[in-house]
Amino acid sequence: MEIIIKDEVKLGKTRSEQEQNLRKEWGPTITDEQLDKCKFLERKLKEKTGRTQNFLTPIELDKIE
Amino acid sequence: MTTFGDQVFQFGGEPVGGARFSSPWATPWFVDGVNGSDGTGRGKRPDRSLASIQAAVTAAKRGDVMYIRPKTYVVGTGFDRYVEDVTVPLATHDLSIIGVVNTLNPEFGVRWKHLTAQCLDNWAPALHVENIGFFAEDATYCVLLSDLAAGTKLGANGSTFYKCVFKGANFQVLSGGTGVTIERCKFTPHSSGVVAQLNISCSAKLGRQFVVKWCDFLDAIGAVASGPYIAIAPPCTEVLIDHCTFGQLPTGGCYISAAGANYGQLSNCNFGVADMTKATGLVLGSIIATACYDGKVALID
Repeated sequence: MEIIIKDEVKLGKTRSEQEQNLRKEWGPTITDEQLDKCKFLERKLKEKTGRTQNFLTPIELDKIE
Repeated sequence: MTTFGDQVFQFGGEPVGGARFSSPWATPWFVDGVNGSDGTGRGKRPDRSLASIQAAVTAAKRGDVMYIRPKTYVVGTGFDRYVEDVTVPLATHDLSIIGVVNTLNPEFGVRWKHLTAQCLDNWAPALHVENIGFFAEDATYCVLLSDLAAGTKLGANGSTFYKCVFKGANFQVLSGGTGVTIERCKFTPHSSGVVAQLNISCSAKLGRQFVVKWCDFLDAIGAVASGPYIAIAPPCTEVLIDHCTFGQLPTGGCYISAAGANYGQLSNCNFGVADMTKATGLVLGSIIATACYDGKVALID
């Protein structure tokens, strides 16, 4: 049986996934450079902690040099 | 503090694992003041968005993320405003409120005006706000972080504001709290010259770890600025005010008023006065000042 979840958008489990999907609908919330940093930091988080769901803010992203 | 050999930095705290994690059940909420409408069952899709910020806050649970779309741009007055007094309740902690903005200036994006008292009254820990232009001329406050010793309101614990504009009234912390971070924000005054002050009141409860970085505290359009731009009522410890720019000399000559048992550091800031008198310009209690400059491009001493 196929379960259909109505009235809900699975925008993404991470900030970068949400950002990329949001851009298709409404527009950006962070810059392209911050999005690149976001993907980088999410990869590092996954390697270090194993967590695949997180929500980073630009405050963290701006600290990547 | 460097936490990785590959240049991942984080200020204080644990290494990079200390970033915000949404709960696995986190839900994105969508607010569109033009095309949305408030009602049961709405808000979880962009094409079935809510119309008001409060409706989304009320529907949201802890750890959720809210995206807000700018209203229509009007020639002559700019983007239409959301006009609401929004309260974030204690149970809705870890909430993120994020404006969708196509420019680097949040004033050209989601604009949020108070209805009666203040735009936002936050009672919840770890609120995160991005890309919002708050407008609060003649309001009580622009943003209020309510924090009570009884623990019934904890809005000044771990809340963060990024790339927001606070215009026309104070950003108020009442009282104390821990770990509020305000980064890359702009404080602009009431058109009369009354500054939008960052006011951290800790007289009723200890404040700790307030971080204010890369913020601009601007003066009015030709009107004399009231002061001070930042006021801290003790006791407050581990304050960090870093890389901020301050406008013209305010009335009374005081940019930062933090007399008494306040501790921390003011560093790498610029002040828009030709020659600062440190004794009146920076009343810092036990906060130390390093590498700060006035209009002479001279180290303040």
